[in-house]
Amino acid sequence: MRQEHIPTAACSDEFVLPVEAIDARDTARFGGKATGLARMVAAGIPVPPAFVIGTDGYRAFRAGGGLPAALVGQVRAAIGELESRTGRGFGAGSGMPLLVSVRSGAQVSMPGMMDTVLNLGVTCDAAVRLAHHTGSAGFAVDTWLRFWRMFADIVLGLDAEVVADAVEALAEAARREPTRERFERMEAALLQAIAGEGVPDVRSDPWWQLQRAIGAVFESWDSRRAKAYRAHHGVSDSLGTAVTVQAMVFGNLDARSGSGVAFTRDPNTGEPVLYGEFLIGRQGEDLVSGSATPQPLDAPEGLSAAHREALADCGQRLEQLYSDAVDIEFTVECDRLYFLQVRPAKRTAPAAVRIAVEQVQEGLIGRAAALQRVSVEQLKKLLRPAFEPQALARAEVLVQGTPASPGHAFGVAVLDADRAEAIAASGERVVLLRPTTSPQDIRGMLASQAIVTARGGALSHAAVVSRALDVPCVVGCEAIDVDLERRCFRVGEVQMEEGAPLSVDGVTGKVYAGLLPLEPASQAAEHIDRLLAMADECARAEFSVAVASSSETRSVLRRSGAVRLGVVALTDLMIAAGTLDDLLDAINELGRDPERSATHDRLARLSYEACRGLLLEATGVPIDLRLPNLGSPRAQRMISTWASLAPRLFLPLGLKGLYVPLLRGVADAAREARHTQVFPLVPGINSVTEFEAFRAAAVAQGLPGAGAVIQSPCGLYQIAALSEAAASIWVDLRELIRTFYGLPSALSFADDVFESYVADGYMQHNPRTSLEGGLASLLQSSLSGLRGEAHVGIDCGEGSASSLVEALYTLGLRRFSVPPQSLASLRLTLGRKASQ
Amino acid sequence: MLPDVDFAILNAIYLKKMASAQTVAEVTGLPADEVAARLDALAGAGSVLSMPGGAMLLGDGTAQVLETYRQAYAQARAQAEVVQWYERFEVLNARFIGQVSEWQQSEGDERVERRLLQSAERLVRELEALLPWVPRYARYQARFERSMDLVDRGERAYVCKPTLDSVHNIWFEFHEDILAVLGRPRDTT
Repeated sequence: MRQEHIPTAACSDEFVLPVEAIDARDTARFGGKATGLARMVAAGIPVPPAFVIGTDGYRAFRAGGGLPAALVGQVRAAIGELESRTGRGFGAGSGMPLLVSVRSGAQVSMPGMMDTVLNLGVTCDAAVRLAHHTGSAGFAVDTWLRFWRMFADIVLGLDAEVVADAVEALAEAARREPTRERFERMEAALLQAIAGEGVPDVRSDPWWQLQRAIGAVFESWDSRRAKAYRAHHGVSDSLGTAVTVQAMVFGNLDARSGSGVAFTRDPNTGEPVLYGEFLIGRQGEDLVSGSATPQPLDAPEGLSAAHREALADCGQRLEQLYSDAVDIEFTVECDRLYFLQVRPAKRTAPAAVRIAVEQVQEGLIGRAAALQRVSVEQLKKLLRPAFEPQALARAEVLVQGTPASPGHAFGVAVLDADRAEAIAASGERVVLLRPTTSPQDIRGMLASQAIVTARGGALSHAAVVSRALDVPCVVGCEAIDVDLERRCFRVGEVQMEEGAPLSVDGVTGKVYAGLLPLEPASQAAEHIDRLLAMADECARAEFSVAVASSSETRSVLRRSGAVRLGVVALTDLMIAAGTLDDLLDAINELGRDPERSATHDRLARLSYEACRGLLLEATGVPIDLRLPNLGSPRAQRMISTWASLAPRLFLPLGLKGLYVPLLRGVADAAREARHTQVFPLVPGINSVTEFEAFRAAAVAQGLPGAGAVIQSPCGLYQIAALSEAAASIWVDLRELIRTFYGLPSALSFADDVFESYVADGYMQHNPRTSLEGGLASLLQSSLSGLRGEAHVGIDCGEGSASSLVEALYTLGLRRFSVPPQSLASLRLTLGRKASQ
Repeated sequence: MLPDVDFAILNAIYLKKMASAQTVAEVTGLPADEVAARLDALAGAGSVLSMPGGAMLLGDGTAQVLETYRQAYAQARAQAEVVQWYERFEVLNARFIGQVSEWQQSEGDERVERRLLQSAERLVRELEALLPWVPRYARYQARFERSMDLVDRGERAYVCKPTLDSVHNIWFEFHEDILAVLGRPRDTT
């Protein structure tokens, strides 16, 4: 640091300072850009020379309605300093011209502020010299045009294309034959085009341009968007912005020059090696535009060994400075290396996980920072289910299109958005197949597992919306001929009806006929496990996994870090065992004759058969097993004869002839599996007396105890008393929300309805994403009566919003039950929440 | 041809396929009770069907909307200036859609987001030139500004989430709208 050299930092007429001379901590005065440069200079990173106009310059500009004379004078002197440091002249001179970039830089970056203007200083004369010194008229003309485009667009507010189009022919001529006369004609045409667009005072004088650019930065502080942003975030309007002016360097001067980009770690895999590419004798734009093929950094004929070493070395220091992996844009000009831009590196999801985990091991960052580096969306992406490889290998491709949104999914083909919505509402998985989509198809797209279109490219409506929804999508399947009238489609000789099963691979763009089974993905598994272990250490929450079958149990116990299974629904186990219809039949039988012992035996046997496999698989693991809740919205949807069931069955305990045999079956299976920790749960409990009856029945069958699932405010009201005798108590989140708001069961699964309802302004909070509106305080007061050791958890079910679970965590809840597919994201969500 | 208010209401539903009175009021800038009253009348006349999730156009309603487009903008359609405006818009449109796509694929890269919003800001500015022919386009300006401000505040769902009045949604609706004004079919690419 060279603060001691600052003449008098408080002196108010000192508007302009070289970046080396500023206090890197004083972001209020010099903004983030300049202080960032100052920190790099202090760390010995080579950057092109630059100066900064402090925010006092902005205030003087505001007060005086223009740039004060003193500021203009200081800018001239500072440009003079850049001229002598680079040996180049700004505007005039005979050698390489001095070109500069002009950037805004406030303490906090905000929207609506002016973008960077590059290449300022390239006049007609400078362009001629540029052509001469680089030996490339094309480069000189492009540099010049690029400046005018940016200046017209950013500073003058014109459409850059209009200006560029107006001189296209002359520019082409100047590229072919770079005479001074052609350059002059081009300049005259440029000025005329801009004047014609409504800026008659436009000038070719670079000093005028520099002042206009500086003024435009200052004015952008007061743009509509910047003001709205500040008003919302409570940032003072008087803070103002600084302006950074930096010399441009050229990678195309000679064979010892070039441009490149380097990553301190491989952005694809996260491996800690210097990674990147270099383009000899070219500018950075060429790298971006892909107009030339770059070489890897370690190619022998590319970047010199010394520069490679300097990049690696500076890269390490920059990682310390940023506490993160960084990407670096650099240029070598006549064998001198310059760092142009350094940012936290962009990275793929697997790289994000690996970098975060390894940086903790290296001691570069702490656990909390590591958890903030991986978003839940990135984790979900890594864990997204994929088609089983064996099934995929056997499957025959129906049609190949353009992959537009990644992911694998299957469902029945539906050719109309409204029908897709209706069919999906009945519980069917739908693939929306359309000739093309438009905004009118949104509701159907929302309801679909995947979207396929016959026409359109990667930028079509279907592609953009699918990515926004994170739904697999394949577009441009030209071979599909959709007949909307007759509700069928044809691929070559194959004719298919609406309702045909399809499987869609949004990664490869292949669509398969039939249903391909999905399995959980296992990319970057080891690093994910380590990251999630860190999340657990931060969150200190306990997770139970709501498995739905014994086959699912094995993989869950192997990998999940869960210590408990639950809330396992006996109904799910029967679905897995294929005996659900038997159960419904037995229940109907029971309704007709509640005392018949053959029916009781049948129920006990169904219960035994359903949970036997699970108990054998999970010996030694505590299991919370919920008995069927015939009053639930799910039962109502699943049982076609629901309305004719004996009404008493809709109450939590229903009939003794139902719950006692079911308990008997569980106890029989537990005895056989030598499982001593199975706790049956009674759903929808509302009073201590009904729970006591249930517990007594469970104990009488030989089970170690019992628990309850609370689904109503009434149950919540009783929670302290219930917890006295219950082995565990689970709060069924979805049902509690529904009963708290008194919503009909039909709304149990219609999340988007609430979203639009809130968007229409009828409600302050979406009940599916927020506990505001009373539920938080009800939970708080109910839970405050609990003893410390009470085993109370939240049954999150599938698809609970993370904001909701975070709110519960904030209330102090630490036990959560989730289905296997949601476990990893919930662990990360809570780890991130706890470490914020 | 529909009166202005009815056209504004039916066109909002036409572009969204289904919309609640509140959404229509927001999109059109008309008072909510006026929208509700007109919707009742239009339902009575058989132009729309009121459903729990919002109103939908019936065949008559769709025909009225399309006929109004055809008649009301015949003059605008004949203006070389309007046609040229649209051709410039196509360039901007391609750029914007590319930016949305890039934004999605870069997981919301900030630089891409900035450029994307600059394109939207440019459209807001350019719309000024169409207002003499299509005064209701001022509503698109207001909607863009509201959604851009929300994005600027960090509500990034307002970039392109299809269920919100996101910048991409507004853009797409505008595109459908101007195509209908010009009587051109929709490009599917």
